[in-house]
Amino acid sequence: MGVTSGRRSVLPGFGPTLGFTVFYLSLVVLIPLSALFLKSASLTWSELVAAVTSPRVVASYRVTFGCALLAAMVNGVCGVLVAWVLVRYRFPGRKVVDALVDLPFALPTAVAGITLSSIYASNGCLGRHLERWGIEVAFKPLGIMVAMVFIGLPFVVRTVQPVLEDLDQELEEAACCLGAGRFDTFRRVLLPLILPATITGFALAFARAVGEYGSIIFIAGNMPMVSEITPLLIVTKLEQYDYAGATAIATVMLAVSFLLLLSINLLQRWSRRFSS
Amino acid sequence: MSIAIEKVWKSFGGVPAVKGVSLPVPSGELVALLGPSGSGKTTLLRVIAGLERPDSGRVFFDGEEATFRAVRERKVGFVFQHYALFRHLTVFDNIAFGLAVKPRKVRPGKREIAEKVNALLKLIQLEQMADRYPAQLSGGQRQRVALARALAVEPRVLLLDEPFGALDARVRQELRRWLRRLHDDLKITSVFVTHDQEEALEVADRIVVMNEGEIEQEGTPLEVYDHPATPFVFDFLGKVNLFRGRASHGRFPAGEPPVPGLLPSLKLPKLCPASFRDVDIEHQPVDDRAVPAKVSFLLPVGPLVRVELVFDGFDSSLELDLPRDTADRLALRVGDVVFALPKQVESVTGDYQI
Repeated sequence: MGVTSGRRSVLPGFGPTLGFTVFYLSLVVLIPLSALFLKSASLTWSELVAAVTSPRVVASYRVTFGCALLAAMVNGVCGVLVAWVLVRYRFPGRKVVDALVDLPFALPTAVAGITLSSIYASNGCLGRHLERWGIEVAFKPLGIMVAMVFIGLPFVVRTVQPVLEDLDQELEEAACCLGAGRFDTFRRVLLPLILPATITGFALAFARAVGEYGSIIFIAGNMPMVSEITPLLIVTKLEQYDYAGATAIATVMLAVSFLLLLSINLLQRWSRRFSS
Repeated sequence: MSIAIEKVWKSFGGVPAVKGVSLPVPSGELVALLGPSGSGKTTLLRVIAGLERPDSGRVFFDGEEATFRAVRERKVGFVFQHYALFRHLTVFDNIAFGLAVKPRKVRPGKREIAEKVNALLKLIQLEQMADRYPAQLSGGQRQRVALARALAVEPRVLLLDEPFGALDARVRQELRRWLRRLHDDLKITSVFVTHDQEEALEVADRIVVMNEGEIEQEGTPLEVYDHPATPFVFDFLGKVNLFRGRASHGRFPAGEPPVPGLLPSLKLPKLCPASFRDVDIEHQPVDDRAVPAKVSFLLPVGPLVRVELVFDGFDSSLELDLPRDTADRLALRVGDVVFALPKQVESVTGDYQI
């Protein structure tokens, strides 16, 4: 026993596994990201500020983060609903529906984008009818949201589903015996218990939507100031050989995403404060 | 409130769990449903609570039919084996739950709720734990919280499903006595399910022994213990040594222990099991009813010594617990031949498979 030996875990291999984790994270995540920061550092401070705060860029932040947030909210509600139906009820075709949920994961995003824009376009099968009511989806921010909802759905369903499956039926029976109605049981017993998983799913769907490129550029119309997303702006800058400008915007995106995910994590910690 | 169950049947996927059970539970009594797992006792309890709907038969509360009454309108307190506490709520909020979900018109005010919850916390001796979450409590504490939560809504009936089943032996003993005292104070009609005969004998006013979806016997603990009605009850209640033999004119055949006080029907030659409840052991035959036996096994268990005796000509052996001082006085060793004198012999007729 050396002087340094503190509390030792019974599980062996802490040293090697932590070493590997740090190495792997560095290789896959940290090194590419630091290269990003280094590249954007080739700009002077005022150049950097100018690059990331030009009106067109700021508008793209608003579109990207705004739509992603809204899409994640829609998915947060509808995803829980889909998970609920899949877990709670037995109906013919349940397995098929269950498999359908994963489809947005598997489909190449460009295919999703082309499909969505063709059905929501003003001559598409859905877009035609929506246009009659004055709702335009394709080539508008709404279209961006539709694409983001599409690709984000599996995240919420797949994180909430196992938690719902594990919920003890006795909890509902206990609530029922204590006089709680269906709505009170859901609001006071079930919802708080699936909330942490829902927040995780929300965060994942949000992160995915912020980073999404392939499907959105087909349906967005990509009009500067209106429906242009930040990832597209970065690609545009790269095509113009403005590497420093592209990385500067990317750095801002990265920082904002990180902050948002961090705060979602804190929110989640609060939501599971009861499990010590 | 009194409960009456009339010819209740319930099956799951074609397998009957409760087969036409009728049972009255008088107001204010503490009744134990005792039986092995799969005997239908929990199903019966859930039928009373309304958590299961019987296939046929009826349930009455205070003479009023309640078979189709919704669970939340029955005003039953239900305590689950694994507590079913709301783990996202503090102990305080768990107990307050039933009050907080009452319709606005009849819901007590915040201060009233707090007073009531604090009184219940005092009752379960967990006043210090009000702000803890269930995950921070021990098993015994959790079960007490579950009980307080059920009592908070002032149920007319308290139903407990294996309430102490998941606790260790010491806590179980403690809670058992506590439940008994609580019942004596509150006088609330209670039904609890258990597979532990000792628990049923110690806590209940009346015991209902169930087996394979049917009631085998019901009565006070003493009645059931002293006069078991069927071989099953016999076997299930406590440490009973069963002997199977063909009784003839009130006696087992030559060389086998005579059986005093048998039922008249047993005088006919037939196969019947008999059991020894308490057996005296001596080195010398003190009575002409004493039977020679050989000590085949000895094991000190706490204050007792477990002794196994084998008799010539019997396939089953006799296992009994002697107080340590008696065993010391006799200085028993494996292989000793002793004389066993049954103090009480019970016999049971019936379709007993041998």
